[in-house]
Amino acid sequence: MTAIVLILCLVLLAVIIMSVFNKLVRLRNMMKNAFSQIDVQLKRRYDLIPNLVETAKAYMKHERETLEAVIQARNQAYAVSSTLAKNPGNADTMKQFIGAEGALTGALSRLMVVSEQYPDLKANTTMSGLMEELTSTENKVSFARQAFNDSVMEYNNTREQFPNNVISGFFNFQSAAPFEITQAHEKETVKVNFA
Amino acid sequence: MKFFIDKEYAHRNTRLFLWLFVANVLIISALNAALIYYLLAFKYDRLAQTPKLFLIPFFISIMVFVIACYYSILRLSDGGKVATMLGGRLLQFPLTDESEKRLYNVVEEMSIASGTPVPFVFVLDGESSINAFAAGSDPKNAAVAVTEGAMKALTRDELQAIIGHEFSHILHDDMELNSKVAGAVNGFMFFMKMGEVMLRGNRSSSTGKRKADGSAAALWIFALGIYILGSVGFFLGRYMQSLISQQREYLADASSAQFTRNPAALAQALAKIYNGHGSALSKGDKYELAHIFFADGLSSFASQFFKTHPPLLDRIGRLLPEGSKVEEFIFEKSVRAEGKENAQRVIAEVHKERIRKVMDENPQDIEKLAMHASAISMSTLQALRVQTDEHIKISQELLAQIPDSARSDLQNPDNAKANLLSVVISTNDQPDHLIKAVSEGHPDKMPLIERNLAMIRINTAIRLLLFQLSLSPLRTLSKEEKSMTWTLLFNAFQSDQTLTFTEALFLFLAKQALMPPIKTTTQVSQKPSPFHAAAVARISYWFGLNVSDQELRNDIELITGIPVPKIPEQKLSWLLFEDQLSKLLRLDLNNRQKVVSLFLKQLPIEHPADQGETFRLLSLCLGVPIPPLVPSEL
Repeated sequence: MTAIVLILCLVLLAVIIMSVFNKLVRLRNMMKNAFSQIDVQLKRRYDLIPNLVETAKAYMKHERETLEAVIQARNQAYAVSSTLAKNPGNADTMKQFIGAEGALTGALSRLMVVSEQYPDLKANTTMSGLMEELTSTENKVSFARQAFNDSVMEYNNTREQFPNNVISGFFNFQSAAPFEITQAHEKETVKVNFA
Repeated sequence: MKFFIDKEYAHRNTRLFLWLFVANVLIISALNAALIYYLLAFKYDRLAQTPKLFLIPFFISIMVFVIACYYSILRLSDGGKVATMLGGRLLQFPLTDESEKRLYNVVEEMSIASGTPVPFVFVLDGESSINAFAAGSDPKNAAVAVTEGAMKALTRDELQAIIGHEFSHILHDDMELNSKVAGAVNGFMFFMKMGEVMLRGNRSSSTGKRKADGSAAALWIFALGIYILGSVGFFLGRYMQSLISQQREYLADASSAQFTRNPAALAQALAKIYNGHGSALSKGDKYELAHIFFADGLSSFASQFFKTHPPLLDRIGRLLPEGSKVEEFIFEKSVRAEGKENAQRVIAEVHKERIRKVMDENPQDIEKLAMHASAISMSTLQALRVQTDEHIKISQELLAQIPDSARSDLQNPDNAKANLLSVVISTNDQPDHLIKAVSEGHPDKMPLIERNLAMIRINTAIRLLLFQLSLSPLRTLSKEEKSMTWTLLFNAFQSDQTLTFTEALFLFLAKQALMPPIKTTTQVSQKPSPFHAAAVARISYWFGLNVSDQELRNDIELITGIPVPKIPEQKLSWLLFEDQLSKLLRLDLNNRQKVVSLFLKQLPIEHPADQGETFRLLSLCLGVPIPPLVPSEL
C-alpha cells in the first residue's frame, strides 16, 4: 500500500516538474520569437524610407535638410544593423545600433511633423499611402519591443515564482532582460516652426 | 499598469464561474442518474443491491454534455467559415482601398503586439454600426471581422483598440471556451427537450389505451423529472454562460489596453457606440454567436436577458483612470462629435439610466437619485463647459485683438499691473481721477493703457481675458509685492466711491490670485444651508435679478433645498460680498455648478456683452470656469 502511495506521489511530482518545464520552454521560445520580430520590423522600415523620401522630395523643396537627415540616419542605422547581424551580441555594436536607431526615429518624427504643413503633400495619395505604411511600421516596431518586454516579464514571473524557481534553477533557465532604450534622440522634443 | 491587475481579476472570476458551471453540470447529471436509478430500482429489486450501477446513467449523462461540447466546437472551430456565415467578406490582396489597407496594417500591428499569427481579415459590408468579432478555436485558423461602420467612424487608434480586443479573444482561446460552454448549455436543452417530448408522447399514448401497471406512471415521473432538471440546469447554465462571457469581455478590454498601451482609445470607441453609433447588426444568425462580438450585436430587447456583454458604461469606467467620471467622459466625447444639443440629450440619457439602476438596486438612496436628477437639469451648464473648436477659435480671435504691447513681456509685473489698471479704469464711473494718478506716476505705461482702453471699448469680452492673462504672471511675485498690488487694485476699484457687482467680482478674482486664502474658524458645512440660500438670493439681487420673483425663489429652493429667507435688499459692500461669495465657494463642486446653472438660466439669450461678462466672472469666482459664450449655444 505504501509503495503505491509512494509511486503515485513520485508520478505526481514528475507531472508537476514536466508541466513547469514545458511552460518555461514555451515562454522562452515566445520571448525569442518576440525579439526576432523587432528585427523584422526594423528591416521593413529601412526598405520603406527611401520610397517615402522620394515622394516627399517633389513637394518639400524647402525641407531638403530634413529629408537628407532622414536618409542619412537610415543609411547609418542600416549599416550598423548589418554589422550587428554579422556578430550579434557585441555590446559596442549594440550600443551604436541603439544610437543610430534613435537618430532615425527622431528624424522620421520630424519629417512627419513637417509634412503636416504641406497640404499638397498630404493630398497626394501615394504620400498618404506611404505615410500610413510608415505610421504602421513605427507602431509595429514599438509594439514588437513592447511584446518582447511583456513576454520577458511573463517569463521572469513564471521563472521566479515558487515552486517554479526550484525547477528553473535546476534546469538552468536564465533570467531575461527587457529591451530598454534610453535614447537621447527619442526624448528630444520636436521643434515646430509656425512661420 | 492597471490592465495587468484587471486581467488577473478577470481570469480569476472566469475560473470561479467556470467551476460553478461545471458544478451545475455535475449536479444535474447526478440528479438525472439518481432519478433513473431509483425508478429502475423501484421496479427491479436486484438493481437496488448494486448501487454501483448508479454510475452508468451518470456517465451517460456526462457524455451527453461532452458530445454537445465537442459538436459545438467542431461546428465553430473554423474562423473563416464562421465569418463567412455571418456575412463577412475576406480582404483580397493586393489591397487597393485606403481604409482596408489601414485595417490590415492595424491587424498586423496587433498581431505583433499580442504575439499571435495574423488571422484572416473580414469586413462586414453594409453594417453601419460599430462592431467586430473574432472567430476560430485555434490561432492558426482564426478570423477577425470588422463592420464597415467601424472602419468609417473610428480613428486609427480606436480601430487598433478594437482589434486589440479581438486579439485577446484569439489569444486566450475565448472562442473555444465559449463554444464549450454554449455546447454544454445545449446539453441541458437536450434533456429539457427529451422530457418535453416524452411528456407529450406519454399523454397521447395514455389517452389511447390505459396501462394498468406502474410503468406508465414511472415513465411519466421520469419525463417530468428530466424536464424539470433540464430546465433548471438550462437557466442556471445560461446565466453562468453570460457571466463567463462578460468576464472574457473585461479580460479582452484589459488585454487591448495592454497591447496598445492606450486604454483611452478603447474607451473612446466604446463611447462612440454609446453616443449613437450603436453596435446592433442587421444580418446573420447572431443569437448563438452573440458572445463573439465586440459589443452587443443583438437588438436591445433580445439582449436584455442573459447579456453576453457587460454594460458599456461599466466597460468604459474600467478603462478610464481611477476616479474619473464615466458620464463626463462620454459627455465630452459626445460634444466633440455631435455638437452640444445632441450631447445634452446623451447626458440626460446617461443619468436617466443611472436613475433606473439606483431605483432597481436601492430606491431609498434619495441622495444619489437627486444627484442624477439635478445633473439632467445641469446638462446645459455642462455642455457650456466643454471646450469645442469654436471656443478655441473665439479665444484665438480675442487673443489676437489684444495689442502686442499688452501681451508681450507679461513677465514684467509693471506691464501686467498696467493691464489690470486699464481694466479698473474701464469699469470706473469717474476714471479721470485715476488716469491722472497713473499718468503722473508711470507716464511710460500710458500708451499701453490707452490702447487697452480703446480695445475694451470695441469689445468688452476682451476685458476678462486681459485681466486673467495679467494676473497669472503676478503669482510669482513675493508676498509683500502681491499684497501691495492687491491694495492698489482695491483702492483703484473704489476710487469712484462705488463698488459695482462686476467690479467686486474682478476684485474677488484678483484676491484669489494674489492673497492667501482666508482661514475660517467657523466650519461651514458642505451641504447647502439657509446661509447659502440667502447668499444666492443676495447675489441674484446684485446680479440684477428680481428677487421677489416666485420662479427664481423656487429655483433657489430647489438648489439649496431650503426656502429662501427674507433678505433686506442691501447695497453691495465689499465685506458683505466677500463673505457671501466665500460661503458659496465652500460648497462642493456639484453644488457650485448648480448655483452657476441657476444664473445661466436667468441669462437671456440676447444678453448685452457686459452681462455675459458678469456671468462668466461669477462662474470663475465660484470655481466653475466657462469658456467664452457662443451666443448660439444659449
